[in-house]
This record gives sequence, C-alpha cells and structure tokens, in this order.
Amino acid sequence: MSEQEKYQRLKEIALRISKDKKIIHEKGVEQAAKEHGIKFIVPQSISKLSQE
Amino acid sequence: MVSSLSSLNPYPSYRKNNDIVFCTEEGTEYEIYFAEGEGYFEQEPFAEFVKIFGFRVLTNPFSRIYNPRIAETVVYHLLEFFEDNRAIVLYTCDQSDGREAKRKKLFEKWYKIYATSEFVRWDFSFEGTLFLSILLKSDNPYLDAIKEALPKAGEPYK
Repeated sequence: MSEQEKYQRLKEIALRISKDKKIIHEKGVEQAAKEHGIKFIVPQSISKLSQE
Repeated sequence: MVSSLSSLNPYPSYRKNNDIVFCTEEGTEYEIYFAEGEGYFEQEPFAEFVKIFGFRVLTNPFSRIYNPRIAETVVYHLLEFFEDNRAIVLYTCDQSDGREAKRKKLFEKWYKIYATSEFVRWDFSFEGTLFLSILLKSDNPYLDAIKEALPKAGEPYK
C-alpha cells in the first residue's frame, strides 16, 4: 500500500469514527447500539469499582 | 499514562449498560465509552484489537471548573483498557460545536501530564478540523505492523 493509500485509508477511518461519534453523542450509546449497530465494550475491570 | 492505577484518584464510576459514568462533587456527570473498531483496519493482523474511545459531559456542559480528578478518572479507565497490551485506541475530537481544536489541546495536556514511555501516541489531522489520535503501548506486539499500516506523516508524540 502506497503512502497516499495509507493516508486516504486513515482519513476515511477518521471520518467514519467522527460520524459514529456524532450519532453516539446525539442519540446516546443505547440508541446508537440498537439503531446503528455500534458495538460497545466495557472492560471487565469496571466491576472492580463501586456499582451504583 | 502513569504506570500504575494506584497513583490516581478517580471518581467512583459505574457501568450503565454500554458506558461508564461518573459524577463530580459539583454534580456534573461524565460518560466514557469504548466501541469496537475491528472493521477499520480490515485484513491487518491487529484489526481485532482496534477500539474507539469517547468521553463527554452528560450534564452541566458549560461547567468550566478545573478539576484534575476528571482527567484522572478518564486516564484510570484508559489504563484499565491497556491491561491488554495489544489494545490500540483511536480517538477523534468531537466536531459538533467547533471546539475540536480545544479538545485536542486538552487531550495533549493530559497526555503530557500522565503519559510515560510505556505509551506511544500518533496524531493526525485532516482538513484542519478532523483530529485523530492513535494510542497504544510501546510493547504492543503489533507495533511494527501498526507503524507499517500508517502514513509516515504521524510521528510519535513525545
């Protein structure tokens, strides 16, 4: 892959992330997961912290 | 990032469903989330370890009180994430309100405060307003493959 192709791929990745982020911030993570199929992950270690 | 979780003083956090939430003494609530990013670098050997990181204020968005515990809480959860040294975290600055450059500066500031040589960060910008950072551990077994997959424009940030 040429430098130009790497740059273009990374730019497209950044645009996709930015678009997903816009959806998440507008609709919230739950709706983003349900309506747009964005897969969220929560590290298992979060259970080490207090649950409220 | 700092080398140990114990050196930080994070707010208690809780898991809602798909996100991590914490609240400051002033009542401002923040959300941290991680999303799968394996589709972004398809066919690369490290694809399954690519994750997207996001962070935002949920309530009282105009609060401007400087509070280092907010940064320490975010850093704490990022550090947890990097307990798997194969993790590759991608972060873009929210562009919704035109303050993406300020967010980039804040992220840089936090990195300077909390980062150690255990971490590598590459920054890229596109068209002046789209900022992408890639964060990984320097002992990531895919480090060479990741470098090879990226354009050389992104030099490691020290």
